Amino acid sequence: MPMPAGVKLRSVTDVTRAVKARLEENFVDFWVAGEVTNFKLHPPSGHMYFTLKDAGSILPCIFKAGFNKRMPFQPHDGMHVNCFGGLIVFEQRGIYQLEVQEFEPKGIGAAELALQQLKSKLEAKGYFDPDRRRPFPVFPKFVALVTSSSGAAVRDMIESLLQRWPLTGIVVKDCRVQGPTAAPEIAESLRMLCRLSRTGKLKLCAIVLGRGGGPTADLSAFNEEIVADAIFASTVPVISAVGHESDVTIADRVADFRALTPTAAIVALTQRSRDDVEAELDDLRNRMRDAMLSRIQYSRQSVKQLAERPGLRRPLDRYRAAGQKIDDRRERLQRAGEQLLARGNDKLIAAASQLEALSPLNILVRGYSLTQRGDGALLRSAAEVAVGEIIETRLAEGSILSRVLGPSSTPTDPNDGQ
Amino acid sequence: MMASESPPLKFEVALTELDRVLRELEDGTTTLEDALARYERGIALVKQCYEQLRSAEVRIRELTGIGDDGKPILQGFEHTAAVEKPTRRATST
Repeated sequence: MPMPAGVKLRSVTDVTRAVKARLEENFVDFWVAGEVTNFKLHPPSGHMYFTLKDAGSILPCIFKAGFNKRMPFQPHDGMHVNCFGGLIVFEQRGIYQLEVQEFEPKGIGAAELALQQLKSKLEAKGYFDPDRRRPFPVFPKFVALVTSSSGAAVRDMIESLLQRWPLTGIVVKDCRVQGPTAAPEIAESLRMLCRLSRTGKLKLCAIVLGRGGGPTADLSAFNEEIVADAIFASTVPVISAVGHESDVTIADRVADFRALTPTAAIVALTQRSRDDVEAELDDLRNRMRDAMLSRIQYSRQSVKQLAERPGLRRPLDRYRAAGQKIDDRRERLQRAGEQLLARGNDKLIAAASQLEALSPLNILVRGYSLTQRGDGALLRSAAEVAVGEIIETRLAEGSILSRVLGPSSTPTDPNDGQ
Repeated sequence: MMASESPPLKFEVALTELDRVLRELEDGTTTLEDALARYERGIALVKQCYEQLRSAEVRIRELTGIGDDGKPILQGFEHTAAVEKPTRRATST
């Protein structure tokens, strides 16, 4: 359709401005629900940009630094949120955006979400690693109590320490445990104590971070990152005693030990109480005395036995007995010598007759003879000699030299021998 | 006991030594003279431990800051203990 003549032409700027005026007037201060996509933080300005979407449409959003600074958590894509604000039109680019003033995660409070995010962040940094936890000395020499110096917690802890292990030196570091300044005060107190401990000005063996019981909302200082950082960096083992059974705070999880109450913290710190140690000392003393008494008893017994020995009782007896012993020995020696000689003679005779019985010459007496070749080898077969060879036959008495004329028979069958 | 003249040992050190003395006494392998010396040492240690516990002077201070010399600024601290030390409660600053 061609443009009719005489029509009033509007400029782009003019149109945009009209739209801007309409939109910005009619879309102020409203809540809108959607899912966050394309989230971007623009670092120099601190502004956040994202798009809210639902099943049917999208809405570009700007969350300026002045507003988002108050937000305790970090938005991310996929988060379902309610946003409060008004529409603005960005003239140069001809687009409209929601200028966000409030940003709330759906289904979960903002503070709760912030806490969750901080927990996962610290977890990833290893703050909750159980391997980090350090042991305390068995007998604490010097302990710092970081808590309100006017609360019940400090009194409970001191009384418990005096009762359980009065040798402990105590230094109290007063700080607020609730309210907006609590977290920085706690963190600064921890850092100050660590600095003094590191330089040897206060030789601390533990720091107890304590607080009396109370409603959950008051625990917030113990859930702040600045406190977590100070505990994590502490060169002295830290016991947290936040005094709330059902809620485990971040401070509880970073600390080397979590006690449910301030008094429980002291009990954990003084593993062996004064009563235990006194009972142990009593026992040690009794056992030492018993051991010593039985040692003395034993020595007395030994002396008595020694005194009763004949040699000590009648010295002359000893000499007489010794003389008798010598006589006795001499006699026995003599007897033994004779026996040995007699036994030796018998043995000799027996050996000689045994030798004789074994001699081959004995066999010859019974009419057998031995025939040897010239080289001395005994003949066992007619085949072992050649015709004409000289052989010697030994009889019981004397021997005969013969020349072989020939075999009279040759062995053919081994069974047929002789 | 002569041994108590030496500076008091740290508690855990004293206890460790006591355990050793007792073991040696119960072993009964030493001479009587040695055993007596050990026993004497053990009793001195027990006494020392008791004395430390009994004479423990409560040291409670409040840290208010760090001085320019890097040393802690400490002051007396009165916890409102009504149980054990009624005399200490009376003083206040």
